[in-house]
Amino acid sequence: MRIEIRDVTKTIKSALILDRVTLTLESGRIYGLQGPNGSGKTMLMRLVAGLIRPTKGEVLIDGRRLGRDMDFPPSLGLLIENPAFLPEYTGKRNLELLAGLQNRIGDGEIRTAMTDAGLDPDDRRKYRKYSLGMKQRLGIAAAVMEKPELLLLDEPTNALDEGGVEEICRLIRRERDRGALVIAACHDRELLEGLADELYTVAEGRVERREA
Amino acid sequence: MSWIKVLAHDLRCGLLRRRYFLAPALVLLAFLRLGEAASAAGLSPSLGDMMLYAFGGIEPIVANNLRDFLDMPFRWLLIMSSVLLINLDYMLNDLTYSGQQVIVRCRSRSGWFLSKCVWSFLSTALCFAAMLLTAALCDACFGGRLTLESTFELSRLIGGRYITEGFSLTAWQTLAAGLAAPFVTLAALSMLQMTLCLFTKPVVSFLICQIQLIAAVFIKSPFCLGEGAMVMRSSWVAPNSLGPEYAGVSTYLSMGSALAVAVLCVAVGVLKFRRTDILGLEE
Repeated sequence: MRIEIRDVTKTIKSALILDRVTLTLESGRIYGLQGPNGSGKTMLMRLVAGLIRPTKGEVLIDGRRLGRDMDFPPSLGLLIENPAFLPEYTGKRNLELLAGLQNRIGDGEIRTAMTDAGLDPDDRRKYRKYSLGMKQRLGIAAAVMEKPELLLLDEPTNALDEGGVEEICRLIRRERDRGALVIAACHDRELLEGLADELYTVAEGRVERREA
Repeated sequence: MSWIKVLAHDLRCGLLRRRYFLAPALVLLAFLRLGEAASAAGLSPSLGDMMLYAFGGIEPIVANNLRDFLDMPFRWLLIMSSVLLINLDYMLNDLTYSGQQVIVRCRSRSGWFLSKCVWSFLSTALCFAAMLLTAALCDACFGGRLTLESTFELSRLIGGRYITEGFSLTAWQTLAAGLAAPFVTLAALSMLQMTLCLFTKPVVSFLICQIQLIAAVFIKSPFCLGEGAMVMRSSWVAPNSLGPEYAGVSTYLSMGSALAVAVLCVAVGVLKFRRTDILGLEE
């Protein structure tokens, strides 16, 4: 997969969110987006996910224009902001319902994704009883379970303890090694420096490459 | 295929968790009042009388009768508003939370929005089914008849001032004016409300629909969305014999125009949603 972001500007209600962003991203790499809150990291992810449309410029995925040739990237795993699931179902049931939308994977893959994210697939607790860390892990399991070609993770280590952070970083590297294009946004610079193959700083809507 | 699965998600999340008791609770209060009044008058209301009472609305407002302008069909407005309130925020709530995971897997914005339209239609149908069940239960409690025919005595009791002796509605007319027309109107208004949510805040879209309902009380036209949902405005109930200003509108024409509004809202919604930014709660 190859993603080309060409001279993209995004304004929302006259506020400049992204300012002439140009990037080329390829499979098998982890791209880290670092920057303070409100700098435009999440908006850049929403743009690549097809959730928002550029005001100017274009996003191409394997040469096809997002928003014109396709509404969303064809194989996408997503964790943006706080994970949100149906509170009255267990974590596994929530993943089953999401997986059922595309029918690409079965019970085995769901169990593996949950285990890899540090969750027990046989846990009978409903989602509303989950701790913040467990909710975050379920969000990551949902993003990776279908082995997407494009993985967008916004603050993937939120609410996780030190061990959990390492576990999730290992999982993200495994996804990269599998061939996925991973974009991870985080305000923790040290963490991203250890994780990303290419590091970008996002500030006031501008994106600049930094040495990883 | 994935569209059907998105619809299944909407039915699961949107129908099973909504506060559907609101609409039947409101009509229950109305039916109890009607039942009491009918009992006091020695009458037994039919199921049709119950529905006419809920969706009676108000007879055509005549310009030279100032009192008419002060009369508002509050019962009708409350019942109509309760259904709109139930349907108000599901689409945006879903989009803000777990719906984002659903829409990227659905991979089609149009498919996702159409699924919400079907949900809105079914949600309105569920409200009506709940109201009808409430009416049937009330009817049974008051020893009424489980038929759709409406009678002159009850219609006068319901508030039809201009109804003449010997008036009655057939079961088919009651079904069309007392059930089908309000349902189609509310389905169209819900669709309008949902489409407006793409342009403005849900509370504003709800208020716009309320203004439309109030406007329908004063504007006499089958093309004014809302008027067809008032049985008292049907040409079957308010015939031309008293003069053109007292005449009602065609129920079928009202239903047709409501359907046209619904289709237009779906088309506008699909086009608008293709360009809508899907943002988080904090954004």
